[in-house]
Amino acid sequence: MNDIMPLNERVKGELFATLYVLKKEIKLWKRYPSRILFMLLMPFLSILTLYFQGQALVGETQSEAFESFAGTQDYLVFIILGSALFIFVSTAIWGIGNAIRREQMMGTLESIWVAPVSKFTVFMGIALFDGLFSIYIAFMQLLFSSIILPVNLMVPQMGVVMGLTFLLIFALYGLGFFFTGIVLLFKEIEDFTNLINQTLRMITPVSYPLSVLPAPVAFLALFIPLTYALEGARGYLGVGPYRSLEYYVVILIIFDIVMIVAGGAIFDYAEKRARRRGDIATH
Amino acid sequence: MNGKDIAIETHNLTKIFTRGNGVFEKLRKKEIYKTIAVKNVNLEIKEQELFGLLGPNGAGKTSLIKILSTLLLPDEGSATVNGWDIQKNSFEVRMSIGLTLSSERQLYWKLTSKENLEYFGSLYLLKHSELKERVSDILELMGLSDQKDNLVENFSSGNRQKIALARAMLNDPPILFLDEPTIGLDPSFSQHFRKIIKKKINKKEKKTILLTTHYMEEADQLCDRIAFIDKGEIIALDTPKNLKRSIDEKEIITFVLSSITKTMLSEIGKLEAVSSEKHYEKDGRYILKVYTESAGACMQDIIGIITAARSQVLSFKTSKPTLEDVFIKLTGSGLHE
Ligand SMILES: Nc1ncnc2c1ncn2[C@@H]1O[C@H](COP(=O)(O)OP(=O)(O)OP(=O)(O)O)[C@@H](O)[C@H]1O
Ligand SMILES: [Mg+2]
Repeated sequence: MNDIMPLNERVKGELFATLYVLKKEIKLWKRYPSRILFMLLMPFLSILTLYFQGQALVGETQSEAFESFAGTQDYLVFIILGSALFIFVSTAIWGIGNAIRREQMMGTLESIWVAPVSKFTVFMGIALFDGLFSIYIAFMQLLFSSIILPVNLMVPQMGVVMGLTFLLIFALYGLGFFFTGIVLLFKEIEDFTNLINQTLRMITPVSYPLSVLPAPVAFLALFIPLTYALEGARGYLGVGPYRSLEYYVVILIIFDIVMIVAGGAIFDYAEKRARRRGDIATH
Repeated sequence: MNGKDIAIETHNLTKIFTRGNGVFEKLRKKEIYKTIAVKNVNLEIKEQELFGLLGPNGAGKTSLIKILSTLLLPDEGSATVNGWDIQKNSFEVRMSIGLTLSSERQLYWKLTSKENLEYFGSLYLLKHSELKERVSDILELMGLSDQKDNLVENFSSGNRQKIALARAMLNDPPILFLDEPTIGLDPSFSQHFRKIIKKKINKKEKKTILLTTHYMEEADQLCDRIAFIDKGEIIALDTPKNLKRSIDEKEIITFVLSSITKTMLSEIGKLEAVSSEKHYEKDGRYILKVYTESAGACMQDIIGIITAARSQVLSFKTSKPTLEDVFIKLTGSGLHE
């Protein structure tokens, strides 16, 4: 019965559509100059903030007091890594849901919906854009830190950190599908993303090690993939406790599968409901 | 599987919007209310037919189009589009149709027309190698080749609607759904746009078209067949010619009056030459339509009755029955209230 389009053509079509979505996102983005300014300045400003914050708190880049919590004296490397990885979390949380919300507000969402393309293809295109954006910001942060600050993060070990980040991304995109579902269900996204963003930042070891948190809160962090990506990355670079690479890889892969399946299911439910209520496009 | 002659078929299609039944709404004890948007609609639209859905605001036109284009799930009944079931085969249905909505915002204003079309073409899974060529062909067809690199935000509403139509045609689907295609366009552009729809898209490109409108001239001028829709129900369905013929009377006198009284209406109704009347209020004035065999035979009497009832004739005209008159006769109200 599926004679309307052979499967291989369909797969090819979906792949090209992903690239066209990416292309469209880049074009739209380029036509808002303020976004370019943000992109150019953001990495430097954020790193300098962290640096001065560190100066005020510990006076230098190393801290013995910090070691008692974090298992490393290297405050600056610890926090720059946290910040660089959290970029991926932020953009993933903001990215797809917000892009879909934007289409909803602009009035283009129904036109996308009525097209035969899989909606996940559209999400992947957006995710690709977000991924590239995050890679740029994180890379510039690391590069800038290495040039200006007394740390060197441009080391070969960063390859493994990138690998862990890559594994983290898939789990985050499961979260992205979830947020798209939220957009369809609630026609609202900003408060949700802000809430989740802040919560994750608080309960995962982004700016401080888990050991400073009260035990129940630190326990929650165990259910968040970012915790493992951060621990693995820092541990591998020698700033913090470390188990084995396999341990972090396996855990992240499990998170990837669970979160993509769960996020996809929530999106599917929300999509059906919106089509029943006829409010895909409602503001 | 694909039907040879029938492009669109519906069986008792029904859509009831329910509001106030969500989890949070229940917690807040909001009242549940239901709107019947589409009610037991049975349609059969033939291949290459230009079919019009004509009805007033809120009649259910958009809802019906959205159901057929898979954007909205029906509550009861079923439908096939290009032979595919709208619920079970939504992918195939989407591959078979093009849709334009009445909103001007269905395109990216910050992209050029070409960029818009290439993007949407990719969402229709067009082959990469054919996409660019298809986009330039379709811009040519719409007469917009010279504006391919202009941002949509700088387009006139009319040209935006043309780009939306171009987008609907990108994957060369056999069936097009056009929701209020000329809404908000000035009369001369509407006329031009209707020509494109009828001559280029329907006749030359051989597309089956289902369009909605609340302009009766548009339906009259364009459509092979028309369905009147009111409160979700199809209340009449035929060719424009037959629909107009369904009014037996040869002439209609339309009065605009300052007031209407019961006795006035009953006395006019009793006149021998008058077969029936309909009246409604519009913008604080009263419209009285008198259906008659001959306007000349009863005009004097009617004006006499109106004057006796201390009402004023603000204007009047006699005319041949239009589709609007058919609609008014069927529903007792006009298309534009
Ligand atoms: N998503 C929705 N949720 C609740 N009610 C809706 C929804 N969409 C439409 N309705 C209601 O359903 C009825 C039919 O609406 P619809 O938009 O289909 O009419 P229409 O004929 O297209 O009208 P118009 O000429 O104004 O475009 C209306 O009463 C409308 O308020
Ligand atoms: Mg409508």
